[in-house]
Amino acid sequence: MNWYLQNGKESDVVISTRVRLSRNIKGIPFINRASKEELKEVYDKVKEIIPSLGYNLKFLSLSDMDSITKQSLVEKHLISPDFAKTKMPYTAVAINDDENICIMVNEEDHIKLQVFTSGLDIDNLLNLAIEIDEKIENLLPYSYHEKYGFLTACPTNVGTGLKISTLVHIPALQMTGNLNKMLNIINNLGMNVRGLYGEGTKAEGDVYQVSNNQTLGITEKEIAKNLNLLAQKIIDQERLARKYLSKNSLKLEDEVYRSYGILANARRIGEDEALELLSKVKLGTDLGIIKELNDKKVRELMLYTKPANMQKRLGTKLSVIDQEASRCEVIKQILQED
Amino acid sequence: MLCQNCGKNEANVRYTQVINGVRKELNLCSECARKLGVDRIDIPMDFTSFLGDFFNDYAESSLLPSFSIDNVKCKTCGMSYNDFIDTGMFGCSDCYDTFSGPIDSLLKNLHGTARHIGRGVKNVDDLLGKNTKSKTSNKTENISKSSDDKNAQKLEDLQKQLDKAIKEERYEDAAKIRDKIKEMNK
Repeated sequence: MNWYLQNGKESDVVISTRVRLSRNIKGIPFINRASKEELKEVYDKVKEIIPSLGYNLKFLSLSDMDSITKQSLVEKHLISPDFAKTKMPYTAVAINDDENICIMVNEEDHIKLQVFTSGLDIDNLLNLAIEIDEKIENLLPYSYHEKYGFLTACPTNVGTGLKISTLVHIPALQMTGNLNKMLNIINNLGMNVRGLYGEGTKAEGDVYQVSNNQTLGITEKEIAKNLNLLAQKIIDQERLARKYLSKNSLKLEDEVYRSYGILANARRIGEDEALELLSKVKLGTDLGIIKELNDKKVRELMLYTKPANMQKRLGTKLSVIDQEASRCEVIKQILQED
Repeated sequence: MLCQNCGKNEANVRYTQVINGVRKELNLCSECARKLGVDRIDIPMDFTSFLGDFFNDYAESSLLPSFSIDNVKCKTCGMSYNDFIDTGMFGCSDCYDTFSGPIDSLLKNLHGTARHIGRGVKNVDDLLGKNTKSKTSNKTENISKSSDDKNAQKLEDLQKQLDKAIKEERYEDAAKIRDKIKEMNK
């Protein structure tokens, strides 16, 4: 079973963690100044070394991929939305069967090495990323500067080239009116926080991405430590808010079961509505209120109610309107599985 | 008028499509427009130019009177500092040296510092004994694989590291580096 369908450490609040290293190959211009031939050179070089890295990585050209498959990778957060839409030639991903390793080739930098895990497990993830990074470096020397560290096209990534991000689900902070306070604190600590879906302060689905801004003048270990600390604080506060909500148990039970009721019985559900209902349903499951569900089913619901993964699961292409009815079919399927 | 897609919300985006002379008009709510991907055209801000503006503000304050970067272009990729301001992206590794003056203050604004202190490339790490795990097998493999060119570069780096270590009175590290140079010169 792939990582995104499993629970990890602190999974009641932290959905997943990603570690990403931005790297460029020595002697080749960054992608915005690279010629077609140079982009091909990056593509060929990475393609050549992928088998020797191990991990069962498969090298897949983006141009061979249909748009639904690309979008399904975006929905799993394996590639960036812009990368899925790019018209640049010689773009590719190297990905393993578990999909916990995904290397983007010729995205913003030549190589964006990404590793993922369910829940919060920054230290192990960082070790894995560095292990792969060293293997690549042995075969493809990186562009490195004695003063500035690993060089990247965008100066926001230079130095360590390391961005660590966690997805946190914090509905109780929202419901108790503490969300903005929390978001402000995160910003003040020099971390970046944004709603994962939708715009504005209230993110649909109550899922936020927290990541480090600083990549230079800080060690990898410090970045990991800071993010770990911050994540732990968010977890503590969210759990506290949940405890508070549980005091009025009838109100909370009513709220999560209403969401569950709509989710289970509606005949048409849009993507955004599903996100919102699932947020409450996940909260109810995490608190042990909704007995009909388990963590795996919640994870499946979260993934397969998204348009591209839903269409992949059903094996058909659907218009946005048809998706609303099909979404309910998929939900029913998942609820009835044993 | 209600959105023609969901029929629920008030329509506030009009989308006109002309394919082979056939005109089709849709009135959508902003939510559906976003979902159908027709709203992107209406957004005037594009991220890279936004980033460029942001850098520009910093660049102005960092311009020393004696330092004119107007006509400086990166010898390797031909990028000027203005190109960077426009896109927020550098063109190649050498841009970092070409524009090191303004870059320093830019990086200080972004990261609070302009000096990397994290992991280095592997051979440098090994020299400093940061990675205590035995990597000797890896190392020799690395050396045999690398071209003469890379070896020369490595030797040069090693020498620099050695000088630095001696200067900083890290004699244990210096000894390690010295041995390493010996090994490479064999």
